[in-house]
Amino acid sequence: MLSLDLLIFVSLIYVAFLFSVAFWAERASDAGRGGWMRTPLIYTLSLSIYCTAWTFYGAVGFAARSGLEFLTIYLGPTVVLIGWWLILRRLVRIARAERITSIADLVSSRFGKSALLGGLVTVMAVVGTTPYIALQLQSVTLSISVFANGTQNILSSTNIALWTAAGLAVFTIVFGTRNLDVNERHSGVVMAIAVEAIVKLLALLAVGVFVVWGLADGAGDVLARIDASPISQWGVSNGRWIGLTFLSAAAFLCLPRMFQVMVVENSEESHLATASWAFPLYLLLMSLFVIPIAVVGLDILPAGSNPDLFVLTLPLSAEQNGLAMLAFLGGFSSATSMVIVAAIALSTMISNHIITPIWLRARGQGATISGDVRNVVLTSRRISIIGILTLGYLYYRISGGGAALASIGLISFAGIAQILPVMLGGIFWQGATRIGALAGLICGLVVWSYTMFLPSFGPEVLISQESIDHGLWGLQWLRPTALFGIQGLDPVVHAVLWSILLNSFAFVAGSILSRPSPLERVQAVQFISAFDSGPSARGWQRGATDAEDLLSMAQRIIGAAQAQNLFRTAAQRQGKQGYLPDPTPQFLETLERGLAGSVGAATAHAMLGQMAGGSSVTVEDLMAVADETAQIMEYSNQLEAKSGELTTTARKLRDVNDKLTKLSIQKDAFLSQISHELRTPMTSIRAFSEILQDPDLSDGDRPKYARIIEDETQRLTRLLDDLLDLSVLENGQVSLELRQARLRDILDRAQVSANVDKHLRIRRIAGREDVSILTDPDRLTQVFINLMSNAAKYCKAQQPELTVIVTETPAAITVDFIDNGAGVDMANQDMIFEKFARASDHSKAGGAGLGLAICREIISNLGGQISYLPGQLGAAFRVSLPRD
Amino acid sequence: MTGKRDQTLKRVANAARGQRVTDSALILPFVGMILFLLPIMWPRTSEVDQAAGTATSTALIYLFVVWAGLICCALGLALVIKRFGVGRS
Amino acid sequence: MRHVLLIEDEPNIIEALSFIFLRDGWKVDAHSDGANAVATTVQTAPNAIILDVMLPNRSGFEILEELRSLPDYKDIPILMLTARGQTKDRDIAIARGASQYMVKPFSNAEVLKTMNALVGHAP
Repeated sequence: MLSLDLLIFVSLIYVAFLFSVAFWAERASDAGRGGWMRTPLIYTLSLSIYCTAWTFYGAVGFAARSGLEFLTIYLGPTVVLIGWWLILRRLVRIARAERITSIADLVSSRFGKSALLGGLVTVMAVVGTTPYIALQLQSVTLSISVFANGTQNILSSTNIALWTAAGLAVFTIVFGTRNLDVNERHSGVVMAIAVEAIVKLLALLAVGVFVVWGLADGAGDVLARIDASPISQWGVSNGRWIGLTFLSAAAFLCLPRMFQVMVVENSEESHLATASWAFPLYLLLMSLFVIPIAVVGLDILPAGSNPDLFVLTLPLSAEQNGLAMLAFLGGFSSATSMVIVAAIALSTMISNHIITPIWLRARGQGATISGDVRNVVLTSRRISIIGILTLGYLYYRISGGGAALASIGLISFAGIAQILPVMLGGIFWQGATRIGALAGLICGLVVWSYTMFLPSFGPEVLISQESIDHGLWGLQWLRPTALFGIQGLDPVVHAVLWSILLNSFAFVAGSILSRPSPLERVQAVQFISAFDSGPSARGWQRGATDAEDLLSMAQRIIGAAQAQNLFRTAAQRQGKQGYLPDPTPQFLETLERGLAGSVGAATAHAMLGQMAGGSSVTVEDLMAVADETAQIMEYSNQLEAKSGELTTTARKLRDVNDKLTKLSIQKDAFLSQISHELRTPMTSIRAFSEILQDPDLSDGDRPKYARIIEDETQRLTRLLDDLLDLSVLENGQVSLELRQARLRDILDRAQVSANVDKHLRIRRIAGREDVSILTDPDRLTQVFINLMSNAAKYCKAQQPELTVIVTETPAAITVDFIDNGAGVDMANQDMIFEKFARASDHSKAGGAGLGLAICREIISNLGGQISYLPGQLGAAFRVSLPRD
Repeated sequence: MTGKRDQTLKRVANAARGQRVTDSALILPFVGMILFLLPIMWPRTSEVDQAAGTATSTALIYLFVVWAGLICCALGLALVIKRFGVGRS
Repeated sequence: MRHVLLIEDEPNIIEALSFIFLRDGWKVDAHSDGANAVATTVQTAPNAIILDVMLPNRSGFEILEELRSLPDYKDIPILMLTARGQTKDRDIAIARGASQYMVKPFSNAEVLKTMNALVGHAP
């Protein structure tokens, strides 16, 4: 028989070895040589903390009692990992994008950073994990007691549990809370767990190989022994087969320690791809020899032996002390790694979601000195770790350590699985709300406690035998094992079915009936659209990217030069070149102080907290941020109002200036045009006047030149008339003589006055012109004359034609003048109504280029519009007059 | 010109393969679930018919074979996904 | 032979100028559009030009500039006539190489005298 002292000696050496592995890994990681530690292999091995002492010892016991049922505990996770594309990938990506630190943080963040939800999930996690930790303590105690068989030792079973718990607390505190890692990653712990994963796999495989080929006669013999054993027949109840597979899958996703290693410690999404086959393979190997060990144990060992310890007792019975020692270390590894990671995950949750918020609230003033926050977080984590292990130990003492390992594990699983509906709803359903999540979680917690957790302590400990037999307050339909009168179900299936069903129902109903807050909406979109916002398939380069993010944020807040200076100084202090120091807590504190000067302490803290993983953003912080923001906004509003006035005034001045400049340019152009229009006829007049004075002028020339003078004089007169007319019209001084007139009469009169019949044919549609209109007939005639003469002057068709079309609409009467000439160029269409805007060729036009400008003024005085109609046969003008 | 067309064809083929791989990755867990839940329909020993049951050894072999098969499929998918970077686009 | 090209769009002004120069013994050609004024100039090869500023399709200033860029017309006397009468125009005309600049309405004698002086013809 192996001596207990030797066993304890070897255990201590093993623990020392784990300590040194963890130390070495942390050192390597700090020195930047930790790259290989973030490989898919290490990641897969770290997932093995799923396989606790429950697996190592309990699976055999489970199998010895219920045959193949134990497999459900591995098939669930297998399905989850094989389906990584569906859920895990999403979880990992969201967790990375949102810097999620724990499952409580995930739920809290998703539902509007709800402190209440974070606290609730934390409480559930603690309640659900406590039995599990007790289970590990129990297994260590049991396994040691196997070796202590017969010998007396100072170590009673109680003492063993206590010492184990204390030792684990020390290890976890040393490596789990050494520093505040911005990403909550723990390379030392992960490394130690990977080593333990190998140890426990090798140990179980070694025992299995020994049992199959040492104790039995190979695989064939084992199969024969199975057929001859008490568990020879497939007898798993359908409900338990389905229920437990579901439960293990759910727990795999929700267990705080699994979330920690699978999601939080995940450094690269592609590791999931490897783990998707490698971890199921690990599970397969872990369970490969479970049935053979159970069957051979039942066969060989004396009746009444505890099947939970077959893994140890079989080698011992065959005097294989070395193998037994290895098996013990395997079981020890399984127990310790689970407790360590669970304690880290829970302590993070407790400190972030319970202690820090309460502490900040108690401080009243909020986070004014950031160094305090860090100390509080670290201290609270250390105390939490001690508290968690104490709770586990107490549960172990109270529950008496009697129940079978498997059933304790299932209680834990069912408790943790209550988070599943909210978690899945949170990442897939945008309509999920905080109220719904609260309702679901509370409902699930209550049902689980009542149907499973409280009865697990045994009657009369936390729940009376009376209540178990006849329901709470004597209500039969409230019996913990037969809710609503449903009897005959397996207690576990019953509890899981009801708790998850009611939980999901409350969650969905609560979500549908409540309205999400704005912050919730934002978070919901962030979570649901994690895959829309571009892929982040590669892991982020921790140090560099983070510091860069911080720098870009800092530049925005305190200005580029100052931020760069701050960062460079910090980098120099760390002995680094360039602007990007490692985001150590010291540097973050400095940065926070720097930022606080600009945006206020609470904002700075909240911002950094956000960027450093949301680790200590609390409701208080957000409130303080809101207050500060309100103050800043008020101040800036005043400033904005003042600068707004200035801007308005400046804009007015600029507008006026623009207008004046434009007017001045227009005036210059107008004067220069007028000058040209006046001087041109005057030039001819003066020149010919001088010529006429020449006595040698022939008699034929004299009257010709006199006529030119006369023509040019008339042109001058016309120009002056037009100018006067236009001036009167533009100033609105024109007196209109409005009366009812028929359009046909006006057109007739215009056609006669224009006197263009020998230049072009005017086509009219008499039937449509019989329209009475209230207008100034003389002015309107003037416009029509102008349009007709223009057509006569400019229409270059072989047989010029002008078509006049009158159209009546409810709002207006339009008169279109369309000729069959070339029309007006697109470029000129805009300016033909401007003064002196003859398209070309002055001489031919004979007028001063004021005709259309006058037309426009007249029509506008009559309340109508004149416009050029593009896209017609030739030039087309539309006069549109209002109906009275 | 052919080079360009080849590239296009390759891209189309890649996209199609990406879709196939993604679909497989989504379907695999459901296949696994169905195969793992199949045993609930197996006959079991009853008091009437003692011989009707399924032997644990048979069930054991079935479950482990299915399990190993799923692991192989997952391995294949993981290799394809890593090689072609499916899901990174 | 004194040969003047009138680039001017008002027919009555062309008539007046032609009369004045013909009577003084000049050969006179006239052109009334801005667009191909330079081409006409090259064809008719005058030894003096009277150029209006406001021409259809192309400004007299542009024509002046183009003519001055041709080696054959670098030094040809060009008299600019304008009806706009702004000092700004005068500066532009001189800057672009006009030999003389006159504002309409002009005195016949003065135009004739200026042109003769420009071509170096003693009265």
